[in-house]
Amino acid sequence: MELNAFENSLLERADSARDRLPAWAEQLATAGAARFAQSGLPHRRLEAWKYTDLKSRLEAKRPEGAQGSRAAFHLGGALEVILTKEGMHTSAPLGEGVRIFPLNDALTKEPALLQKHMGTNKALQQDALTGLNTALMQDGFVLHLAQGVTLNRPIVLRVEVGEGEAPSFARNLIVLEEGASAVLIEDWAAPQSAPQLRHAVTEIMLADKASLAHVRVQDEKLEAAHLSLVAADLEAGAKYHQFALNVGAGLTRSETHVHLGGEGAHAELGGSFLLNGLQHCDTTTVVTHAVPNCTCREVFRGVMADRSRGVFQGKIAVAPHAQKTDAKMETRALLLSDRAEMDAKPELEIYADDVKCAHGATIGTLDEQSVFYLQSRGIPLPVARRMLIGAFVEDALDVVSDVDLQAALRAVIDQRLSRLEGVAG
Amino acid sequence: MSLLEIKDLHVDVGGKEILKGINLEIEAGKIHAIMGPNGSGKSTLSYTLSGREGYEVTSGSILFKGRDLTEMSIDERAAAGVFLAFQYPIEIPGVTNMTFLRTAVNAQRKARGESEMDAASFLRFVREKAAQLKVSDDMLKRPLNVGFSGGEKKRNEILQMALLEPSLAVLDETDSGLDIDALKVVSEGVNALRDPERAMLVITHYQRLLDHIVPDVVHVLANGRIIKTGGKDLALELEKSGYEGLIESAA
Ligand SMILES: Nc1ncnc2c1ncn2[C@@H]1O[C@H](COP(=O)(O)OP(=O)(O)OP(=O)(O)O)[C@@H](O)[C@H]1O
Ligand SMILES: [Mg+2]
Repeated sequence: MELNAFENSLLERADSARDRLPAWAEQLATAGAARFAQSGLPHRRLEAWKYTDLKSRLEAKRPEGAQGSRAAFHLGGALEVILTKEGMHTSAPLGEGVRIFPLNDALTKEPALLQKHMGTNKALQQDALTGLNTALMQDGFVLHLAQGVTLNRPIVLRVEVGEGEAPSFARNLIVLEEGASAVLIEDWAAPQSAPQLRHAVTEIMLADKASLAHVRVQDEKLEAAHLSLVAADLEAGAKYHQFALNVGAGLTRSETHVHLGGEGAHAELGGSFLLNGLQHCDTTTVVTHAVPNCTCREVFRGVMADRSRGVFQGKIAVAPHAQKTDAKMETRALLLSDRAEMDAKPELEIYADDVKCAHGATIGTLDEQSVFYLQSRGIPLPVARRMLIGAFVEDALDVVSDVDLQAALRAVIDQRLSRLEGVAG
Repeated sequence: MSLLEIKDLHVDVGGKEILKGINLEIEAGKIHAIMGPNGSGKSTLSYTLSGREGYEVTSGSILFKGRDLTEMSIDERAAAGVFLAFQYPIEIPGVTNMTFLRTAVNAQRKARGESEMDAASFLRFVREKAAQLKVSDDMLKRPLNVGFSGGEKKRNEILQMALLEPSLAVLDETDSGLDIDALKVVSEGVNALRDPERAMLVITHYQRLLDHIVPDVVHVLANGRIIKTGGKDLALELEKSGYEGLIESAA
């Protein structure tokens, strides 16, 4: 495989960055770099990247331009954690049994925890980009909740790291021991000096009956590419809820792998992408039912204005003995312009016979009758369209059960909608 | 000057001429009824007045309060006082009735340069009007028209009219789908809105409604033209003899 200049520069950076790591991590990093060197950046000839030709897209220049004023995500009563290059700032004490570290601290202070979990997720082991991430990991955080600990308020985590415009590789690890429970919101909104390329890998381990509600709000600058890969391993009775709100970045890949590995585990994935201009956003999910009696729900809503493009690839895999699996996946897209595009590829791979699996994908436009009805009551066109689009997106928010959190997300959504081509007024 | 002046109105829908020269004048304070066979163009006229896309005025004019209505957008017409109670109200999942009503009322107030109503005073306002029209709290909280029965949808249309206080209300078959009691409730609601400043155009197939909402003028619309105009007795006549004879003598 011939690597291009960008790929080579990443590998060179990996080489020189490696010796800062402790020996065990250096081994992982070396293996990761080797994996990346073999295949380089993913491209459209790989099935999983069919609609998002990352290699050529990273070479092409992304459109510039400010996102405009954004409604910052704000959740009253949350515990704020900010990671900067200098270290970590928390708005209040974390409480007994809760630990958060910047990745670089954790590498030296928590080797046992990291060694136990890092790179163990099967979904990540063959992934070239994850290899690169492992070789370059620097930014990121580690969250650990001890057995039975319940976080009494949501954590809002902001990562404000990265050296100017250089690519940033964040590696996060979230470990909830048995029965622990938390609500974590990652807020990725970058100032103009943020990296042009951000790649974040988040490994999540939920032990028996642990429960995590995980929200990712991504509103990076338009020139940026934001690539995220979340891999969650659930043991018996564990619950994982994820809501991904992607509104920023010219190029987004929002990829999630969930492994339901213990009976009674439940995953709920939801998300919304609201795109404008030439934005491209790819949501890819793979949920694997490895054992009987697990459930999953997926609800995605995409809104594409102007010449933007949305992609949804969703796969539900059911292992031969994973009977009584109950899985449902639904994605709906709204095209606000003739030039907008959506590609949806739902996929079921079922090897068990006693299962309930369903999927649905629709792509449509705003219902003109509804717009007329609202307008005929004196509601101006942009407001009418905004109301209808907001209502369309709303279903996906059900994945988040906390009403305050829903309201905080709705505020970002409303603000975003008011800036979409054909909706702004 | 009349509130509404329609002169020689021709309207195309889907490339086909549906209204073929309508002349209609309505003065403030008056109630006009329009009757006529299915497909004659009654709803087309109502949609044309509200400015629906696809209803192309090819010639003629519509003046409302002296302004050229055809130059105004749908929401501008509404804010200026045109209201259409739909023959088939639209269901909108995800938008609650209450949110819809408040947004509409405030949008119109804003367009007229009035201050918006705060949530508390709006709630009082809606509750009072809703009670008169027997619109339940539950109907206010539910998504707009979703799962409403036919009669509930029509009551909800009249509730909107009561809240928006238009100067011209077009009621397109508001009586269809109503049971006898609901017809009374709705008619009372409409009659309560009779006002020297407000005109109404009531589209219906049945004399029954006109027993409750007594019109000043009755028109017969057939094949895109008004072929006869008379007093409230015309409706009674039609009930007996049907449209056939009228249409033949007009042809
Ligand atoms: N998009 C369209 N393309 C072609 N013809 C249309 C279109 N929309 C409506 N029409 C026709 O216009 C005519 C008038 O329809 P309209 O709905 O105004 O009738 P109406 O008098 O309200 O009838 P009803 O009493 O059944 O409600 C009908 O023949 C209808 O088929
Ligand atoms: Mg009709």
